[in-house]
Amino acid sequence: MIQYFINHFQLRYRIYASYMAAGIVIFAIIMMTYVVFNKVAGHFQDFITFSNQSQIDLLLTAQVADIHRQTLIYTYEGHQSAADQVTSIYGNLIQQIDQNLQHNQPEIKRILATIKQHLVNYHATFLQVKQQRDLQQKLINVEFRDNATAVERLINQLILQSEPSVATQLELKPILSSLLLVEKNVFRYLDSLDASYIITAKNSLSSVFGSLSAINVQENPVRSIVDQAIYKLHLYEQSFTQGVQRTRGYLYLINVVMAAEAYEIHYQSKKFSTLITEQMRKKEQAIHAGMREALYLLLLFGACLLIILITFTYGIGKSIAMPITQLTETFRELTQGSSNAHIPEYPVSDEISELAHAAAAFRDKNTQTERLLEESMQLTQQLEKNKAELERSNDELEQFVYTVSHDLKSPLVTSMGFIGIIRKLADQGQYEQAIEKLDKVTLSIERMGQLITDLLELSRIGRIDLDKKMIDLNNLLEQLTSSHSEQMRRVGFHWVIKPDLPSIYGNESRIRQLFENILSNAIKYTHNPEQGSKLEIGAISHEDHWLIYCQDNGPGIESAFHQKIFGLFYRLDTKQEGSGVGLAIAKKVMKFHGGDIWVESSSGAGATFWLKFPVPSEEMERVEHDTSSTGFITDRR
Amino acid sequence: MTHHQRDLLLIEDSDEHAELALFYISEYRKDIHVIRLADGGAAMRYIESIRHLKAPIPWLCLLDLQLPKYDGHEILSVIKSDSLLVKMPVVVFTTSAAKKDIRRAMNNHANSFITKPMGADRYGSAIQSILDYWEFNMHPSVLAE
Repeated sequence: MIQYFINHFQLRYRIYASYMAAGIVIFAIIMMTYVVFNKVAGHFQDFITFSNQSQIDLLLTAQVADIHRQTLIYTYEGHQSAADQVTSIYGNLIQQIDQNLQHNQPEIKRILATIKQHLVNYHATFLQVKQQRDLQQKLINVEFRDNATAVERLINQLILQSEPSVATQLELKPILSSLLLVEKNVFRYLDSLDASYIITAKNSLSSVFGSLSAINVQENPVRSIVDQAIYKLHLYEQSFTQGVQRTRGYLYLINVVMAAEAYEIHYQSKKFSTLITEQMRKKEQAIHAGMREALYLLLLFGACLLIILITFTYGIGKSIAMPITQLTETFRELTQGSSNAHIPEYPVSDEISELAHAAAAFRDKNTQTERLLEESMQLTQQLEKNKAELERSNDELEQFVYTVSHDLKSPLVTSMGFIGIIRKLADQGQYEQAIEKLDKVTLSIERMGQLITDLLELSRIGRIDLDKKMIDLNNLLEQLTSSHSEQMRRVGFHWVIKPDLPSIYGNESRIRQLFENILSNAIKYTHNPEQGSKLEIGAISHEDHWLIYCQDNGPGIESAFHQKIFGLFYRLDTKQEGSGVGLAIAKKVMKFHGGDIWVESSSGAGATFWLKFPVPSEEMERVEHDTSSTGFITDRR
Repeated sequence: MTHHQRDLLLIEDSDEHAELALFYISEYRKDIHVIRLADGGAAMRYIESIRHLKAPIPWLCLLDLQLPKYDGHEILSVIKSDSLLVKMPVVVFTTSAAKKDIRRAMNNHANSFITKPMGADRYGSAIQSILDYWEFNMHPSVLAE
């Protein structure tokens, strides 16, 4: 994925993509949360509806109870206001039910319709009760009283007509009280609706019947009146029985029919509430389940989206960071001056590819710098070498000037000093002695002259006589032998030259001078009376040069002086003639020929001077052959 | 002043210079005995012998710098690193006037550095001055006698 991003999208699009992915994921999560919350809000609405419905139910129940209470009050008390209350509550209830009927679910609607139906029945019954009650009232208040009064009047008439018969009178009086008792009991019954009062009243009435019937058994003048009274009494009985029946009728209506209706309403409302509770419970379960599901989904989707986002973002981030990290590493290497730092491949053209180009430019620069540095290093080395060379030659010059000034001053001091002595001696009149001292002055000035000549000779080496050629050392030394043979014979010196000495490339006169110096030194300083003084010259080939040794059997040289003896004007032995220039010249000649000279010796064991000559290159020899063929040197051996 | 003969060590390779020094010393002071050593090797041997034999230390030393074998600087450093000989005054008496030589001699604790004069009478007066200057320098071993 990372490589895909690197290969197909520019840096900035990768960054945009990562932000967009994050935005989309956040938006998706927000949307999902919104949906879930919306659902929850819907559930809450349902709950509110249910709550409202249960409230209606409660209200309904309360009002039904109220209406029943008012009905009972009316029934027992007979207040008109209670009846009005019942009607008004009924109106309210019907209105409320109608209102709720308009917007409710079918089940509730059905229940409400049932309730309404029952309520209507209830009210109809109530109206019937009211009618019954009115009739009863009318019966009791009019007929019953009329009958009672009529019976009473007849009885009183009897009493008045039956004056002769005290016994009859005595019989009639309790009848009156019994009649009163009946009336009282009937009203008591109507008040309390207690059936015992009716029984009592009936008993009293039957006793009155009995009494009256007893009177009529006898022959009686008042028989018609008694019959009339009995008739009226029957009417009376009939009216109160009717009143009781009516009372019982509406009581039945109230206690059975209306109570049943009320109970039915109550039952329906209970059903209603059960229904609501049931629905609410169902709803609650549904909400629970739904919420859980929604939460699970939210969680799952959220997690999935986050994982996708993280993967995506990681991929993008890596695709940005990876090339940059690689380039950083490259730049780090480049800043350390590396000219072969690896620049990572980058396929798309964007900011990072710019960086890669910059790195490439940097690398080129480094390569250039490295090359320049190398050149400058070489130059510096050359400069250092030149400087060292210059310093060395400067030191040499300084040493030369120092030595020369000392050695030139020395004869001056001598001659001036002796001139002073001569003057002093002359003043004292010792002329002979003074003249003797003059020789000293002459000698020292002569020596000065010699020194100057030697110095000139030394300075010529390497400056004049620059022409070099192949020199056969055997030849050269042979010539030297012949020119010094007389001197050698005189001091008894042997000069042994090993055959097969090499040819070297050099300036002939300087090489000759070199060997002359070595030879004259040997003659001067080698005193070996036992074996006879001798100098042996031979050659050894060593690597790319020739080593020529000049071995004497003299007193040897202490190692402390092995370096010093090659110094200008340095003399180990001042007794012998000489200016101390010979070995200095030898050294300079050897240097001029690209070689060297040094001494190996220990005190008392003779000294060996080693001369190192480079082996002539083929080219030199070839040139030499060419020149020899032209006849410059005809005999090389 | 004692009448004891004083030893003066003259380390000088040039015979002519030695002759000049001897001439002027003997002319100025008869009581000074000059021990002349002609090269560095001889000087070293002499110093060794004084060390081993515990011989009396010379009163004064005139030291030339340009000497065969060992040069004056080497001899000076040997003298000045010896516990006995260090007490002997060493006057460097040389043709050199090079700063390099003066510095090296002073670093080696030379008591004096005199350049040999180039003038008909000045060699003698230089010798006189040196002798006068060190006239009262008495080595303890000399004083003891």
